[in-house]
Amino acid sequence: MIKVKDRVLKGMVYISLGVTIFLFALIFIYLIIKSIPAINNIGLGGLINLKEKWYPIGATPTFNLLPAICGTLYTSFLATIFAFIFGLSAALMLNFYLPEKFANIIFSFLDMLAGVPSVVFGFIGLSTLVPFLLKHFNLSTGQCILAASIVLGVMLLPFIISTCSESIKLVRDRYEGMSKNAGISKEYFIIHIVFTSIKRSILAGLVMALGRAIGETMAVMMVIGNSAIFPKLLGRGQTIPGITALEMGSIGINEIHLSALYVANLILLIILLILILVSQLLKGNDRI
Amino acid sequence: MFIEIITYRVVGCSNIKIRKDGSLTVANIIVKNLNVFYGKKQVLKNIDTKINSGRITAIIGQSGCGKSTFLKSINRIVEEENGRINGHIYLDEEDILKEDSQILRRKIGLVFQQPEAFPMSIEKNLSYIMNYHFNYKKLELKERIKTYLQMVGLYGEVKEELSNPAKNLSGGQKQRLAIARCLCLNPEVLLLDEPCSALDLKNTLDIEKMLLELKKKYTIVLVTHNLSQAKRIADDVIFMSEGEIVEEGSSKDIFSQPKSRKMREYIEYMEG
Ligand SMILES: Nc1ncnc2c1ncn2[C@@H]1O[C@H](COP(=O)(O)OP(=O)(O)O)[C@@H](O)[C@H]1O
Ligand SMILES: [Mg+2]
Repeated sequence: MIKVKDRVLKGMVYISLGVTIFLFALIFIYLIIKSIPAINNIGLGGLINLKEKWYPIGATPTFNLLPAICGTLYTSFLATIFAFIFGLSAALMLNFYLPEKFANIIFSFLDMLAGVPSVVFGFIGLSTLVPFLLKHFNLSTGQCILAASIVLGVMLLPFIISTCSESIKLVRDRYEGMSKNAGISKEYFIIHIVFTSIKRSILAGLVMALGRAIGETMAVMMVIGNSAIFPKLLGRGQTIPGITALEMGSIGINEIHLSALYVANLILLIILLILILVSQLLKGNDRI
Repeated sequence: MFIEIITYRVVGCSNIKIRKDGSLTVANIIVKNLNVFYGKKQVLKNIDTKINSGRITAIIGQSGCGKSTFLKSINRIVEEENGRINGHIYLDEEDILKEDSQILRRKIGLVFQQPEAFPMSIEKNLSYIMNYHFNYKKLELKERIKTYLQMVGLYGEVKEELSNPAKNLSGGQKQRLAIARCLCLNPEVLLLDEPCSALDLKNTLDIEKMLLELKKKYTIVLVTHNLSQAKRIADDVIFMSEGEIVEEGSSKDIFSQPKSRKMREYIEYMEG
């Protein structure tokens, strides 16, 4: 009887795994098929180059995806850096300097923050950050790469803080007592043991965060300005998810335009796959 | 007790002071009316005792009776676990509860029960600590790492692999490294919490041999649940039960003629 149950369980696990892989493969193949018209008609040189714009509705439309790709990477990297700086500091603060009860309250608050819909972040960014930037940086519009990076950075914070915290907690539980026992201060312990032992898992966490940032659509779209030009920190920009969400629904007959968007998302997916792979490689061999 | 103290500067034993009459000594521990609490729970009750320098004092008793807590009170690591210490503990004349805890922990080294090394190389396990407390030059640091590893009988085994991660050491080696980490603080007192409970007989005997050697230079307190170990190496024995000291005295007296019923029962129980 037990044997049968084991078999059933095992079978179900295998089936679920199979379905997951199959669905993923299906998405991937679908994207490739849908990309073919654009690649045939425009050519890779037309889809990725340094000269043209993304201008799909002109008399002679151009479909350069590079500005949006750069915009995506620019905002995501910057957001991850912001989130890392504040997230790591916050994680250290929560683990080493705040009373445990108080820290736990903040941790549950952060969990809540992670559940807030991204449109809320976008809305708050649009109504506070954008006017602020407009006023203090003397811009023609407050919607820019910087605004998007800050909003995105705030959205990444809960994830970064909890990733950092998890690794810090492991090291702390295991070695802090020993270190104190040798009469050594917290700060020396943090620098010489915590940092060196969590390097890799933090890096893995950052790569995962970058992956999340790249896929984020709504909040970014609301504050980035949505203009597919090569990105500058204080200028408007565009991201691949943004361009997709804005244009996908309104494309009528221009099949090439639609296909170009599929190419964009194929590229996005490939970038994400690489990031996940890197993150997995980084994980696992920490020196804890 | 001693009016003039001359510090004796030899690598590894600069803690030794010379009494006025010329005899060498390290500090005695005097405990007066010590009560320790974790939250509302009182773990140690009215502990009064004197632990003599230059001897090995074994603390024995049922598990949960407060042996570890007693050791952790002496270097005040109890406070890091949110415990509360009441009463007095003196290291010779100085009241350790009034001292800065970092300086105190340098004088009173504690080896935990579970063998564990810092996640770094063997030599860094020692230099991590020495670099924090002392300003040794590179060469002296190297020399000292060698000395302390020799004192715990580890140098011969690991001299080729000092820069390898310490996590690859065996349990016995890790435990000896932990003792070396204490010694490199240049302590006056060495507290060991069941240091051999996770080790096999050979490693246990190695460590015992080493302790007999070290007791000339340090005041040693050893918690053990192994009565034959206490008989083999302890000079004095303290028997605890439910947070109190029930019986204490020289090892010979206490094992040959236990006075209290609890102690007799414990010995019977342990010797099955
Ligand atoms: N950090 C702590 N918090 C709360 N209670 C503790 C803590 N450490 C020990 N105790 C309690 O103190 C008592 C004595 O523990 P301990 O000193 O470890 O005993 P022993 O070492 O003799 O086995 C036990 O009842 C234990 O539950
Ligand atoms: Mg114990």
